[in-house]
Amino acid sequence: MAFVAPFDLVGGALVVLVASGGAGLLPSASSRRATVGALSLALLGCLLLVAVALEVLLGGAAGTITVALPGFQSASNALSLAIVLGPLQGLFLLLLGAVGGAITLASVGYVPAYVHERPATLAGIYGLFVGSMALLVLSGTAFLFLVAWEGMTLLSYVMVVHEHGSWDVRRAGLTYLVMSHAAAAALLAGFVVLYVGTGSTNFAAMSAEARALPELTRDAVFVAMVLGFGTKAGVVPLHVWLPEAHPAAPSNVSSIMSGIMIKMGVFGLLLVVFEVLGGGPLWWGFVLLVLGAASALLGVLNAIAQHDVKRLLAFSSVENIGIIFMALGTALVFLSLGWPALAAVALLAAILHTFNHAMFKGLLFLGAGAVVGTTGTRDMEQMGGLARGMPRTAIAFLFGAMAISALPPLNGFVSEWLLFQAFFASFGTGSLATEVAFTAAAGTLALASGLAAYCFVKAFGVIFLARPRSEVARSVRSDAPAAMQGGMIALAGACVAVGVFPVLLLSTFAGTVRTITGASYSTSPWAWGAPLAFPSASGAATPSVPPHGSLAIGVVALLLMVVLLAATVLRRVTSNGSPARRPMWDCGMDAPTPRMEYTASGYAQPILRLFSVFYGAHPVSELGDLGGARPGVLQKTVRHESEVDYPLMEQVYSPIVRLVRELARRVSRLQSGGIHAYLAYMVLTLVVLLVASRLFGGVLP
Amino acid sequence: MTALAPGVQFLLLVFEVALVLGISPLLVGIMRRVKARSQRRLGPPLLQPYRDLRKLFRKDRIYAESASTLTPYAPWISFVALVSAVPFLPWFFVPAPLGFAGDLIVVVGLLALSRFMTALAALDAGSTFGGMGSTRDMWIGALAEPTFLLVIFAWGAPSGSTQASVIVEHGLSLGLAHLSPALLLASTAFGVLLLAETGRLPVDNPATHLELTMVHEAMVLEYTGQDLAVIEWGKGIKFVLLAGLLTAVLLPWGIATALGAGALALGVGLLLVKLSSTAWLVGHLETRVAKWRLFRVADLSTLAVALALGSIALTYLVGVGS
Repeated sequence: MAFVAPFDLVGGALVVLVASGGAGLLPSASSRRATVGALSLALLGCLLLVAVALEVLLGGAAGTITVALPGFQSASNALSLAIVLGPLQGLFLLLLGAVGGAITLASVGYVPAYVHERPATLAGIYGLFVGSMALLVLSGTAFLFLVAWEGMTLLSYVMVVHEHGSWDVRRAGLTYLVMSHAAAAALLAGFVVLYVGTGSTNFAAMSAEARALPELTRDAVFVAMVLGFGTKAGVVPLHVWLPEAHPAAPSNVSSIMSGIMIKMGVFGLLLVVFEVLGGGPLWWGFVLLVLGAASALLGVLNAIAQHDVKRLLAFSSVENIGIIFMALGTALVFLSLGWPALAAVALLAAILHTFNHAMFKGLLFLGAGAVVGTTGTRDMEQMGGLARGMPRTAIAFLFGAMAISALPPLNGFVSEWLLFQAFFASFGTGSLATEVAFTAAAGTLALASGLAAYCFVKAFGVIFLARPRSEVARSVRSDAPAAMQGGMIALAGACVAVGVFPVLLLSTFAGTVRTITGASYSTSPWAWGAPLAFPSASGAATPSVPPHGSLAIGVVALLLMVVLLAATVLRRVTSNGSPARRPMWDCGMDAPTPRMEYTASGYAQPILRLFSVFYGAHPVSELGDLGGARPGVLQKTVRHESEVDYPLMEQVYSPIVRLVRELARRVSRLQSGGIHAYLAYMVLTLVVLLVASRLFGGVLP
Repeated sequence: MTALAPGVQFLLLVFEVALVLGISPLLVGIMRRVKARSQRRLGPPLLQPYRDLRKLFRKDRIYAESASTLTPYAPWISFVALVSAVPFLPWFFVPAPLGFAGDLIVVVGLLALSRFMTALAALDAGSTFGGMGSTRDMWIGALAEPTFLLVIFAWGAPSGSTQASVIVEHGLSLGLAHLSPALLLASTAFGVLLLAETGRLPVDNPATHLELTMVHEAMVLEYTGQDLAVIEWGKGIKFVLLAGLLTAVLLPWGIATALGAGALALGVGLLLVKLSSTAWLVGHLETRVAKWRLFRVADLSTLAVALALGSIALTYLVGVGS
């Protein structure tokens, strides 16, 4: 049924993406043509990836090819290479191709318009970056996986520091580079342990052996994977690079990093912890659940406190990664308790939220990019009233804000609904620890979701509504470039489509869910418009038992449309003439100026005050005394300042940084500069290696 | 659960929506009247809210010059979200007409959609009081969300479902044993939530004329005409939604489970009694308590969360499904 074999398409996509890199990076007469050419090739690559994904997910074309390098032919060799194309790979190729495609389309507009320094270089690296993520998803062996992982990290680093003229950008890049490599080291360690235990780096071969490994080994691998993938995903407390790197990068790069690259951490966990290790003891699930809950809450609380729009979005990514981790943890818990049907529900929630977050956060970062590019500032206090100058960006951003606030009938609501149902299902399991944990998790998720709505009313309101807060905001007349609008509209449309017809997307998850949980979810009961219902906690699909919940969000959407239509009729019938425009009333305040509006900081204040434990906020009020006979009576100036600390950075990371610096200073004495010393080191290393190989030679395969 | 013919189901849906739209101003009237009487005032006539709505629908609309195109639409979307929640709830007959399509979490979502739109509209003109009301309302809403979810869990645990109709049918099947301590705790928590969500004392004073203490009133200062009419109407509908849900779960008796003229008439009659008693109670309560400082509202929602958690803990002790 497939016209082109999927592996040919894969090869084609990778070649096109490498060509995109060439188009951008090779010398060219016209910088603009090179930029647009490179990005168009990247877009073509994304479309090819979607084609591959659809062939795998719908046509069931799946398989493995092993690419043998000369000298490394043995399949059990640590350095063997293989490309694998299964249901999980299909899903993440779909994510990369479809959402990445929309972001790439927007980049065609964004990069020439807003990136002034070396746009072609950025475009070329962008194409290679997409290629590295595709290769990562397709990796069939740990070796290829690590190579692609490193490529993805380095290429994204280069894009983060693209505007490296600024000290802040270089510093953010350094934080990102160091954290990423600590993570890569953890992954390397984890894969080495797996290789030593199973004798293979091929994921399929590993998976057969890994389940029989000793508990301690499996635990060690799990911890290493959580550290490595958790850092990339940006889960608390490993998230500190994220709010630094995302604001520093050009906005289309923030968009694809936040939308897709951090999801590669989720992909890694699904691949290694779920598929290779096949789940584990109860505490694994609880570790992910606790990390996720902490990320969800701290992420959104920090997001509310920001007035830099891109930093706000970055912290909100931490929150959403937290939600995904909560869902993954729930799935692990249910797997270890032997409830595959419920694990499947949690897994559906995790994967769906991964897709959803990619769509709306990609969209929001693009919207922020248009706004930042037009106004030249990331400070929301300088914005306001932009809905007038940039109406299309405003509408697209509004859809993203509503979706991320989990409002029906948009996509964010569906994934959170599924997760709530998974938590609720714990009531039937009879495991007290689970019931307590999931009740707490449900409360946390509800609070985080309420706070997310708070955060995005603030973001949309302060940026797009009210009166302009600065001269530059007042002068905005033009909307984003056409291609950028196209990308944003495509993503907003996807948020609505997945919200109203979630079954369309959920049906493609069936293969992955079956591989991991063994629970089979065919698409037929979830046909168009039919409710998303699932069996009760008994695990058996018995329709006589009342379902835990059912959701036909298409019907909800239809109802909303019908009532809206009726309300519109009512509005027309009762209307008497067109409305008048008058100066603002504001209870008769005399000529209120934009400085009297609620600011971003002012909007956040009630939350900062209530949750001050999490912030360490220091409000400072200063009254400039006019002096005179009675000091303190006449005030010349009033100044109020409130600074939000980032306690984690100061109390946890700074000591580590100091320690590393100190160690580095001591180690640097080795670097004497004399060639004799270096020769001595080499001889010494050789001797140590020879002795070690004699002593431990039998342990390593 | 008895399955109904689609036509009957549709008629039921239309009737329920009309009923809720029709009686919500009356309940607002009852609350105002009871409050006035318990303060030894005469109070407005019971039907005054209907006259207010008629007056507002006839007035001209005026928008602030600084407002964007969001301002004319937001109140209507907010109103639509509230009206759309009606067919997911049990009123006088279970199963609810659209119970299969959405559970109580959908109702939470629709209320959140309504709040989101109102809070954005409050920011639109760029007035100081609008921003003040907007941030306060989102603050109260964010704190109310965990309570709402945990109460749904507590209510749903015995029947194993988050669907309102299933919860009510389960309650009916238990008889008087339905009134368990766990149910009472969860329903108390919901009562607190009802006061916070509908902007009643001690959280917000619907009769205040001092801008600095306003929450909901501050958000709608820039509105007039038919827009203000649907905002006021929507407030009444929100009260009916929450009061109807509370009484249906706490006292499900009288809700019909099979079609029949007598059963339906009894169901509608008892629904009106339940709703007006709730309005009467809230009216009295509003005279007895003073408005709390905004930041003490956090204590109130902590209390509500604690009650809901207590209810869930009791459910564990008794055992689910027993």
